[in-house]
Amino acid sequence: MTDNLFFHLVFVAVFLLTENWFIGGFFLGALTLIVATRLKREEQVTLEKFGDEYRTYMQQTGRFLPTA
Amino acid sequence: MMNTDELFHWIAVVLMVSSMSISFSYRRKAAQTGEKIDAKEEGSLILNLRRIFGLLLWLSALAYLINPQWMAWSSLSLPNWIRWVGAGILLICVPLVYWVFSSLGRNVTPTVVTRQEHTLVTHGPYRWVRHPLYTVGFLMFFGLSLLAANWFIALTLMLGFIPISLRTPIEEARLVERFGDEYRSYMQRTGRYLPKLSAFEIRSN
Repeated sequence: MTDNLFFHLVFVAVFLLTENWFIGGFFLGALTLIVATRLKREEQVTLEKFGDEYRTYMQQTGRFLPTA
Repeated sequence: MMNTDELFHWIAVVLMVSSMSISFSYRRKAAQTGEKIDAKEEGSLILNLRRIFGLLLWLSALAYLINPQWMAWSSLSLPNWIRWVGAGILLICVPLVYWVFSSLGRNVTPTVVTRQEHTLVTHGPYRWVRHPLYTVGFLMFFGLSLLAANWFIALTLMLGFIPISLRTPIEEARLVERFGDEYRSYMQRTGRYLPKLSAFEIRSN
């Protein structure tokens, strides 16, 4: 975890000093990808553990915001 | 025998105090010209943000240097190799700080305002980079945050650099007003915080 944090810090530092939006965009993209894959794995593990209980829970709720 | 935390702390104290004394002695010499520098010419929002983050950054760095326990609430468990990288960055910063200040001479001000006797410095690090003092300052606190393994110092540094990023174009506009085409062509030859890599163009104007 802390190794990841180090690389995030280095990325932000490089972005701030270069003011290069490709680097900034790449970093944001990579971060989104990391978070997205993590979320997917998290939900899979929870599904394996709780099965249908979690499946119905997923149908009732939104991922980040409440469902309308 | 010292433990590693104590060792890292003492490395930080020696290197930070070295850089800081070089900086203070040059700033004091520049202040002796007695010229009044009006800070209000800077945008007040930028100025205030910069002051708040700058103050937080200095206070947290000083707190760590005086007593690491005071900053223990924001410490991280970083692996030792990362902390050694921080020590290396901080070590490189000591001669860099000297290089920048000795090239800048008496032109240094704490604001974007130019002095009456201002000369355009294009030697030393200024041959390649327009704002090497910001680069070195950034690197110094970046190295410290790794060496001290402290997320609060890193966070205030990153947030504090945003008003600097907003201020630098204002400072450059001021220098164009003052030096005209001389500064415009200087801007084309140099990078803002890092040397211009004409082969890659990893930099924006």
